[in-house]
Amino acid sequence: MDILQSLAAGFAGALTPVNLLFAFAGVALGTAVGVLPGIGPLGAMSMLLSLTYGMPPDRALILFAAIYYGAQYGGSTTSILVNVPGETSSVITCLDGHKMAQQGRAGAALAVAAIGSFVAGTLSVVGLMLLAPPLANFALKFGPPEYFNLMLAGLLVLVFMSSGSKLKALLMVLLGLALATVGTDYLGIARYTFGIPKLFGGLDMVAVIMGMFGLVEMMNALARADATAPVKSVRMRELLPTRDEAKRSVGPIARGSVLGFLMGLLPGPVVTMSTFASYALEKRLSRHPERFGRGAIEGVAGPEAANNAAAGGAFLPLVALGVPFSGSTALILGALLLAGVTPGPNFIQEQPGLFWTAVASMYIGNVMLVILNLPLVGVFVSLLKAPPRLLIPLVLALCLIGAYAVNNSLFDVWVLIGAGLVGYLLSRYGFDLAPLVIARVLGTQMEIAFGTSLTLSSGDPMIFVTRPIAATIAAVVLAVAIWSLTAAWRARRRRPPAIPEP
Amino acid sequence: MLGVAYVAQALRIGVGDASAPGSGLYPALVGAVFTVVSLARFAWLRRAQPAATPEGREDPRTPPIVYAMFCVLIGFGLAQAIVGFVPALGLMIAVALAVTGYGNWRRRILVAIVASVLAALVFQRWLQVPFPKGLLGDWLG
Repeated sequence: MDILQSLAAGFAGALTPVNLLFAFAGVALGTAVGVLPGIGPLGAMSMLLSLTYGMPPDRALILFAAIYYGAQYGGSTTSILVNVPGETSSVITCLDGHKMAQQGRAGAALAVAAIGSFVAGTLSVVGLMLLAPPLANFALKFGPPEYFNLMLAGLLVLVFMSSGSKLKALLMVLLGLALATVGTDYLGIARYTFGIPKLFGGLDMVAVIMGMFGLVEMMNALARADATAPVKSVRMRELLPTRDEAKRSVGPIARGSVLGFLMGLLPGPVVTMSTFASYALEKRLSRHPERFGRGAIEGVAGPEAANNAAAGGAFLPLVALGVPFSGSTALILGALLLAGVTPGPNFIQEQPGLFWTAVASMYIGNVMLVILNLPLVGVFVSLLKAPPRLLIPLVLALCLIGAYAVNNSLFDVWVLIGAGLVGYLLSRYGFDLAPLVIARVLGTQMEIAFGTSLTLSSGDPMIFVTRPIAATIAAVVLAVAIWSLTAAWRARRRRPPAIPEP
Repeated sequence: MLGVAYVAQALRIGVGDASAPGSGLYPALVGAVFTVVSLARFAWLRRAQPAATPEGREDPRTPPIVYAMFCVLIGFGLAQAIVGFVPALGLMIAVALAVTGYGNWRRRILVAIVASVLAALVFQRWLQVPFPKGLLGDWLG
């Protein structure tokens, strides 16, 4: 009953004209960035981060959440129609979605992707609504050592789950933590400022994030600005799947929703990983696995449901624990911090209006997305015809204005350009920037938790492993580390020896 | 080297003692782990090199257009100090459009003027962001 009353109050907040407008702007922008290859939700959110400064927190949360889950819808459109994934989480949709388009079933693929996304998105909000309050209540038992271990665990699991070099990912985490120490610390001591007064406040989080995600994404888009692909058009009447296609989609959507939501709770690039897991699951369960890769509707329905459910699931650790496990949720945390709200276990108790308004707006946003992605799909497809040669300079100009406008500081513009240049070079050498940014966002809180824990224990570092919850978190991290290292060792043993070059 | 310099600076700030950690303790620990991991990575690369396995390595060559665009952004940072933020933004857009190869000069200048006027209206007038006027703006009053 409590939940229903809270949800009703949330809908009252979410249905105000201004909040509806923000939800619509978010889902429309999210769909647009999802459709456009090269610009992802991370880039879009990082560019808009400066606008949330001083914005009421409910609007900031509604806008950013809508961009994030909206992008998961839009990504499938480009995969199906152009065979170019709009998002990394839609890579797998290219396999069967585009094959369906070639067979004249583009409309059915788009419809199943949108309906699957809607069902999964809605189920993940139900999961968020039911699980976030009890998880937050449990997390109230956390003290500084538990928090330090939890944040450390999130960062380490992120490293172990990274697809590339684990050492490179670990270096990025450490670099992010080091960047967070620049400026005046919680004891009031200035560090790594080199006597520059502008650095006393630290390297501005918005400028660093905009540089690392926004500028880097634009530079990567610039490097392939010539790449264009023919776009298939879809008519309204083609959007109906056949009865057989609809029947075959039900199971994959249900399984994809559950799998995606559970994977969304983990750190790392789980939204993309959930699509691959769902595809593999559906192929294994299918009576006709040979259909996969040749236009199987199950290969569209499962992964598209999974990525939306994972995006929804990723909100749970953010709102219940205050710990973001992905780059996108780290940006949402950044937007909330700029709006003056710190998520954590007390968040739902202290800001019930904000939490339930956001939940209600997610239900509304999912309905808006189905409308935007089915009858209006043609409008978004036309975005693919916009010249990137025009868009890139304009978006770069927006980044410069955004970096300046947060603190009215030209120093932040230089931080933006520097972060962009460093980030671009790191990404060219195969370093993933997401762990760096997440560590930068969590770094300050981690240091405070570390220092307070040591003060509480009179300097005994065993406090991090002797308290029951802290010890459990440490044990989980240790288990993941052992599993990850064992898997890497086994993979190395299986690899055939390299043939020496003549 | 970055790690060692970072740790050295942390030690200079002071690590305190365990019961009363100083401001340098946490950075010292982060820097020490950073140095160890960097050395491990370096050792791994040296060992992996004879096997000629470029696993996980991307082509690090940067397209010249990207360097050109970063030069345009740096140019903006320098130009705004002289001509002011909004005119420098217009200049930056026009030159960036030339770098990307969009349209002819007439179209580029038109886009740059429209975009910078819009930026001034939205951010300066509506959102009250005080864009710097630069030396030229101050001189003109």
